Amino acid sequence: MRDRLAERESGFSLLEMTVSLALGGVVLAGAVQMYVQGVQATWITTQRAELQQDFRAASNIITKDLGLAGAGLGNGAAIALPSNVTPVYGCSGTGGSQTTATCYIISTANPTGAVAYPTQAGAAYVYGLLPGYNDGPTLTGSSGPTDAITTVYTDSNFYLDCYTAEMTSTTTVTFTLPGATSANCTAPGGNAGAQAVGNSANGLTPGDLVLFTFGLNNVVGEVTTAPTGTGLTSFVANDVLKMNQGAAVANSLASMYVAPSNSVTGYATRLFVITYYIDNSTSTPRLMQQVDGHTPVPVAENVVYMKFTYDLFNDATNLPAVGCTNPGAASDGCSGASAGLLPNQITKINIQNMAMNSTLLGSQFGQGNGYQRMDLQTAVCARNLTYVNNYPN
Amino acid sequence: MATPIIRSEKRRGRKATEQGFSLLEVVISMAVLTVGMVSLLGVFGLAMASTQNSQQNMIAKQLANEQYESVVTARNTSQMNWDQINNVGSTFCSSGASPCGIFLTGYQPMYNAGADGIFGTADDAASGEETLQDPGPDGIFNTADDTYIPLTNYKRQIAISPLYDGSGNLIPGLRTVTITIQYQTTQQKTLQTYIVNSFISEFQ
Repeated sequence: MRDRLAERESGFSLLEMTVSLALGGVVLAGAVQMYVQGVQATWITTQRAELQQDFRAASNIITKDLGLAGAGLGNGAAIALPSNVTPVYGCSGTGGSQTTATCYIISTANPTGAVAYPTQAGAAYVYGLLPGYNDGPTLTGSSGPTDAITTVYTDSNFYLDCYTAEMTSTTTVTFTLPGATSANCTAPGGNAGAQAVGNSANGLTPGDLVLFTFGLNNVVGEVTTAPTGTGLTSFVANDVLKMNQGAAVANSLASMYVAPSNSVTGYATRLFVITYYIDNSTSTPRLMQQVDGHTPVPVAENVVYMKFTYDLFNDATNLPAVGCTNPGAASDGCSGASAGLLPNQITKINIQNMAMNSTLLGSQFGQGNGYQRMDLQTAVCARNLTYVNNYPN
Repeated sequence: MATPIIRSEKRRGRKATEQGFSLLEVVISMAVLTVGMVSLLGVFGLAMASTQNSQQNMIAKQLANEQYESVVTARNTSQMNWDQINNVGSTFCSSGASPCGIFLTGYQPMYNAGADGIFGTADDAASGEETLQDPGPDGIFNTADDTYIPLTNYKRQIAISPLYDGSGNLIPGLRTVTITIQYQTTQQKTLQTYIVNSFISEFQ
């Protein structure tokens, strides 16, 4: 009996068991601790990587677009707009009606979200760059509004300039390719390189702005109906951006249509009016990009703050005006000779602060601050504005 | 309890089927494992540090671009003439008296642009160091607890040099611009540099 019992006796002794359990416990505790830290580290690293991606997306797109401000707008980078009603930017809508428009650049001071173009002696102007000082929303708990910024340039990928634009009524323009490539045509290979005016990928669509050149006149119209097969495109009044105004209004597209010959020909390019602003209506504040009369698209997440200053240059005095917060306004915030300077004389855009924030999952990370952040602080030369303002040597 | 003799016999008998590890073996293997795990922790730290470094690298890139863009701006507005777009003491002056140039040589602290709006010139120091606005403990901008962090960790150098063609002749209307941002990594305390090489032309 004892022998049989002894034969089955093959386990550890109590001492061995205790020691191994204790050791195992210590090792396991360490391993668990490491695992927890590993998970936290992974989370933090993932979040930081995401922040960096957002940062890259935001900084790349915004610096590229700001550098293009004013490209193709011609000398002065300022185009007079019809001003019976002041045209606006920052809105989209369907059906070509102001009443159905949705506007996005919402701030405490401007809850409608439609931003009027700046006026100069009673006339509205579109400049190559439109500073949006305090036009953005105030984020929760923050004591000041954010900035928006609008860059304006012509589309160099869609070769609308190869077409002859002929007004067939006060509200319609027909785009036809001339027999021989026009001198204005920028398409590689001339007419053959020009896309169809109603091309679904990059042709004209309702909401697009078109810059027309009729002789010495530059006028802007908003497409309200996409081109038909013959290139007939409508620019009827009551559009969401208030660009298409009556024939009696100076600087309107309709005013170009002159009786009795009842037609006028010229050429056109698509105009991009691109506004960047912060949208805090969703849980994560995002940097949004809104083009012409189209619906905005998000560019980067976690952008919680955006402020710009501008440097201008006074050609008359040869002196710079730096650190302006709101060029062209009565209170422009500039230091230096800024009297009479307008937004089309902006020479450098300083991105004072574009901040990315991402909140950590509560205090479990023991970091006190509970968030990670990145700041973008850089400057962009407004090449296409300075180029036309000053041509030395 | 079995007698020692019987037990020793049993032990010998069990020997063939005894498959487990001895306590010593377990202790040693655990020690080895611990050493391995600890070195793995180091890799964790390294990964975190390089994420931090890449962030600093991006900031350095922004600072380098800022400098270059301000040189282009000054050229475009003709705020500076072509001779002035040189380092201080430069003798590559195409029209005016030598030496010409307004960009300070060597590594400079990250000063603001000063009254002329151009980074890297003598009037910068008076305008103080560039700072990054930090939202403070509440994570919200423009509140009372905001802090302003100076970029003391970064230094900037701008070097403008003449350019020669294949036959060794000076190209008068073009210069190279090399902007170097030097920064110290926060974790490893090593010096890193971010370099932007570009050209500046006399003509717009």
